[in-house]
Amino acid sequence: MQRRPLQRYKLITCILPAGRGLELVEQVRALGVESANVHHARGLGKGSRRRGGVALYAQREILTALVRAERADELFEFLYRAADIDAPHAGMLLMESVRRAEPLTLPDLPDEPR
Amino acid sequence: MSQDIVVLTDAMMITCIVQRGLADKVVEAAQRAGAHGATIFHARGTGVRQRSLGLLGITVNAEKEVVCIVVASEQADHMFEKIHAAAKLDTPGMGMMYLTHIEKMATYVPPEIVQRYARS
Repeated sequence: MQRRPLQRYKLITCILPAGRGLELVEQVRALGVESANVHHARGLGKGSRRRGGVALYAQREILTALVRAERADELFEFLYRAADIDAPHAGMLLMESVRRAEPLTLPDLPDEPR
Repeated sequence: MSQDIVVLTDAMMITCIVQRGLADKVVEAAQRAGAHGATIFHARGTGVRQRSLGLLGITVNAEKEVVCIVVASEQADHMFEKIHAAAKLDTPGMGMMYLTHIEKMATYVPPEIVQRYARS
């Protein structure tokens, strides 16, 4: 394995209502954060619909992004605003430290002619 | 001028990986222990030594469910123990769980709560 200077990374996780993930991951990648993915989940929260006193699961999308530590706050703030996290039932945004990471790197290929 | 972001710093995340179909038990135990929400997604687990477990007649489903629960730091250990007991994680093959520190998080916080903490 090629040794490179140690880079610090953070993992940002954004739990979103279903349907918002793909659009946001495209925006994140446009910011230059390539290690960003979306996957499907289901979830419960304080605002979940209830039937017979039992909370019902709602569909969610989880966006995860591995980002260099120096850009982490910038991405956190971008997602907070882009996903309207301060609105009720808009989701949740988390940041965790990562001890060690290898981000996705793309091959350096020329764009195909349209 | 952009508005300030309200962030919470005293939170931890419990991640519990169980066999498919058992996530609801984990969520019920977490809710009884005080959790407000949970996120569940599907996964597939490999690496289980099925041969040795097979001799005991135990079948471990490779299809998994991953349950993520955000919890306040002071409740984290209590909730961890409740989930551990409900999911029978001390039995071989039943699953695994771990607790991680959340450096910071953001979600909707009612304005009256934001003002109360801003004043103090």
